[in-house]
Order: sequence, then structure tokens, then C-alpha cells
Amino acid sequence: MSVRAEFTGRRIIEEGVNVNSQGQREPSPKENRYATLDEARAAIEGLRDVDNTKLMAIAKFFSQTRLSGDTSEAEDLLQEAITKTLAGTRRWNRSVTILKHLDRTMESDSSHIAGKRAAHPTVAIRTGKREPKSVRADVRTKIDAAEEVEKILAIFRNDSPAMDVLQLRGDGFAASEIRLKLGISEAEYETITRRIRRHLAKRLT
Amino acid sequence: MNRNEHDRNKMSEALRDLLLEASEDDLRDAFANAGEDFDILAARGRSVVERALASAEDSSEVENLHRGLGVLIQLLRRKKRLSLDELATEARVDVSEIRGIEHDATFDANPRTIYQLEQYFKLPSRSLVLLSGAVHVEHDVQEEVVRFAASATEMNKLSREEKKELNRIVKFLQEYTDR
Repeated sequence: MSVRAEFTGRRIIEEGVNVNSQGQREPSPKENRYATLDEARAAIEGLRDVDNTKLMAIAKFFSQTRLSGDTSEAEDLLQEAITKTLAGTRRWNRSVTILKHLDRTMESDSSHIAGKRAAHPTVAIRTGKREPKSVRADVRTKIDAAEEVEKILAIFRNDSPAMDVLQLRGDGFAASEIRLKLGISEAEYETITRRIRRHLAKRLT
Repeated sequence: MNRNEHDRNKMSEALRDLLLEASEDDLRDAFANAGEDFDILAARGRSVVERALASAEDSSEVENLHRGLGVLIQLLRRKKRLSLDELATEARVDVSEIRGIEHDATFDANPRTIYQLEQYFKLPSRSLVLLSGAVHVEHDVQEEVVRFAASATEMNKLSREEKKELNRIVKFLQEYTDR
């Protein structure tokens, strides 16, 4: 990958696409709200190890909460999300980072596959077709996504600061607003979010 | 969607956002605490990304070959002054296959269709297999096919230029399959 592609890709990943020289996000005309295929490719080629780790963790999250829980299925889910973005069948909205776009794509795809599997348990991720039962013998015939997410959230049931942070984040509050609402310092907030990540990482392994 | 499901989805997204926003140090700490190796997970992710990028490259090469196949079949059909249905009947293939080949670069023709068309048009053996994308082809073949597809045009009757291009590509495919 060329140096230019890496630089362009990094900037696209970290800042979103429409950032001016002062680092301010610029409003996009309606017709330019989606990144081009070249921009998407540059962003994906510019992914670093930390980004790849995040994407694998997200893929495993969906695999565990909506699919069979296999790591190979998590990899298929991620590969399919990237492939669709490169092909333009899932367009990247410039208002979010490439990582968030891939997160949303995996969320949508895993939900779609889970729905199809409710009727046909052996549906494969990348082809959308049924595989022979002997190949996917370990697929659960009934995936209760709600139950799986509940199991993950149950980790924090006895940790009310963590639940408060997650609920406020879910309601759209920024970190500074959450600290104000909960009356906690930046250091306390970092401690809580570190705890949440540790619990989540443990659950995903 | 009921309120509980809505809340669950929002909190699920909040969890994922905390992962997405984490620094490398935060993630290393989180996964080390879970007994998972950050670098192994990163390598796995990198491998998936590379596979997706390679697959995208392969797709565009195959589509170029398919375009060449579509143009070639169309020219050969028009040379014989056949409609899509007539060619399908004469070559004993499904008309939807002919339509897919001529108009959709992402269409994967049935191997039997490819064989039947080769036989019907008396083309060199395996020449259409090369254009179907079923086997790997050298870069010079791809270049030739792209050049051919770009130079052929849509007309009811083949122009002298189109006949010339048609003869040239068939000769090229003959020489390639004879290697």
C-alpha cells in the first residue's frame, strides 16, 4: 500500500471523510453524503491492527448474540461486510467512521441471517444459501438473540455505575454529559468504561 | 419493537461503541485481562480484511472476462442473424443464460451452456471456458479481452470493423488454447 493511500486511509478512518484543514467536520451536500468506492477502499486498506482487533471483537459480539458463536462465522460476517462496502452494495455514509459503518453492516447482516435461520437453520453467511446439514451440524436451531444480549448485559447488573453509563450512552449522551449527569470525574468515568471493556472482552473470548 | 427490545438494542450499541472508541492501550488491557492475545486477534482481523480485498480484486478480473464473453457471444449471434430465443433453441440452452451472458458481467453461466455455445459456434475447445472466469487466465489474456470488449460496438448488422475484431479474438483464443 502506498504511503499516500495509508495517509489518506488513516485520515478517513479517524476523522470521517469531510474534514477541513482545521480538523472541523464540514457539512456535506446531500448528493455527496456517501463516500466513493475509492475512498472506501483507501479507508479499508488503511486499517491498523487496533482497528482490525475492534472489528473482530464486534464480529464476535454479533456471532455470539445472533448466530452460532463460531469464530469462523464471525470472520465470515466481517469479510462479508467489507466485501459489500468494496462492491458498493453497502454504501458508506460519510457522517460515520468506516469502523462504525462496518459495525452497522454486520448488525444488519447478522440480523438478516438470524431471521432466515429461524426458518432454515443451515443458511450460510456469505452465500445466503443453505449448506448441507453435515457441514453446519453445530448451528443452533433456535437463536434467541434477545437472551444472548441479556446474558451480556447481565454481567453489569450488579454494577450500577456501569449500567448507568451504558444506559446514558445508549440514550445518546456524550462522555462529558454522562460525567455531569452522574457527578463523576473523568478518571472515574475512565475506570467504569475500562471495567465494561474488560467484562465484554472476557465474555467474547 | 417493544420498549425492552429497543432499550436492549441501544445498550448493545453502547457496548459496541465503547469498543470502537477504545485506544490500543485500553484494548490490550481489556483482552489481556480476558486471557486473549490482542496481536492474535489483530492478525485474524487483518487476514479477514486481506481476504476481502483480494476477493474484490478477483471479482473485477472475472467481470472483465465476462464482459468479453458477453460481447463475443453477441457478435457471433448477430453474425448468424439470430435473436436470443433463436440462439437458445439452436444451441439447446436456456434463453435466460444467453441473456445473462450478454447483459450481466456478474452472471456466472452454467458450464453446460458454455460447452454448448462452444460447440454451436465451432469455437476452439475451452476458449469460452477461459472467458467464463472458471479458470485463472494470464494477464495478457485479460488485457486482450478488455481491449476487444471496448472496441466492439452495438449495431444490428456487424460492421467490417466488428467482423475484423471478432476474427481477431477467435484467432487469439485459438492460439492461446493451443499453447
